[in-house]
Amino acid sequence: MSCPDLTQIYAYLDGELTAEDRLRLEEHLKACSRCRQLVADRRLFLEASSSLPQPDLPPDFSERVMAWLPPLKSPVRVWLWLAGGAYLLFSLVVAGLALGTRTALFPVCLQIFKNLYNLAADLSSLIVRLIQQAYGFIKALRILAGVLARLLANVFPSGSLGLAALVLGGVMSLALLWMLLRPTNYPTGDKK
Amino acid sequence: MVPDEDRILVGRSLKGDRRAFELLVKKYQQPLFNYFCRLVQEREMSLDFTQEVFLRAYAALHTYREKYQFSTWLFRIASNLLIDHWRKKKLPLVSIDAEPEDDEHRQPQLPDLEPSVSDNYEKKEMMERIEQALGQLPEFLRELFVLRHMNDFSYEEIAAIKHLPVGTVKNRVFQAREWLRSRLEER
Repeated sequence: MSCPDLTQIYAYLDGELTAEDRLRLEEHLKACSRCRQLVADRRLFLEASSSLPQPDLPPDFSERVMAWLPPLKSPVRVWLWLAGGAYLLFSLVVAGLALGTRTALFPVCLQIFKNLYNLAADLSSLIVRLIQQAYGFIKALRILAGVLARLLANVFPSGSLGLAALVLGGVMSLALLWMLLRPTNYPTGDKK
Repeated sequence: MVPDEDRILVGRSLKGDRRAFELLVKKYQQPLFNYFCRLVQEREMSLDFTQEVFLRAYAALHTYREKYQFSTWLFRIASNLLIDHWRKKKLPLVSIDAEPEDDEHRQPQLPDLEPSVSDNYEKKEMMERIEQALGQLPEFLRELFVLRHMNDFSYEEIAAIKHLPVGTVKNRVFQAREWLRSRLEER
């Protein structure tokens, strides 16, 4: 074996050579004092590099970090707080109304109740409208699909249309599978 | 502690168990502090950066994916923080992201005759000289050298942290080693 280059020497010291290459290099080292010197040099250098002293951390460092931790992000909790708050407000308003018309709170509670009622009514009508819009959109899509199917049926024989649908379905399933299984990037914001 | 335990601790932290996150902090605070101390070379700033990594990690914990090692995820946050710092200091960062054409294919030649470093130094003295020379090593090489030798990451893990091919990482660690070693010859 001729003298190894430095990358091979480092690979040997890193333990990255195959058993066969390692044995071959060790055989060479027995016969070559120059390479033995190179390996001894690099070995000492690597050992020294990996044994540099560790800087001291303040003993209370982890407590300091824990004291600064931001609240954990949890969207579910936010919704729970919102729902709980709305329920509490509604209960207070109903309790205020139940006390009767003679209390000073009654007109305020009545106004809040009316506003809440209007808000709920507006929201429900918005939801109904959205559902109607979605239904109309789906209907339009169905008509469009029917027209397309008829057009295609006129162009292609019936057997090939089924095959094309099968291929399309297969491609879409594979694309969906890929989207679900593809490796996700780290969420830390790459600086590249 | 095996990486699976990290994942368990992350899961518990996400359920609101702060003690579990504290265990992760205790496990990784020293490796992160070593990393920043060698790369920033200012103790107070290194402490701030180490703390900042944990705060960012905690805030983004819900986005951590279990298929990655927690340590590489955490060091990627650290590396991004460092890149921001170097950008602000306007240090040249081209080399970090650039892929030199011959980076993976350069064949280092065996030196014909070189002074023996091991004859000149005892290990302790050599450690002191390496520490001094490390400060002069270009940042993009220093980071990989530190990840390899002070944080004991494998080449594959460094490649995952830095988003670089393994061959490029190996080559740059090689360059850093030989650069530092050549400084030891100047006695």
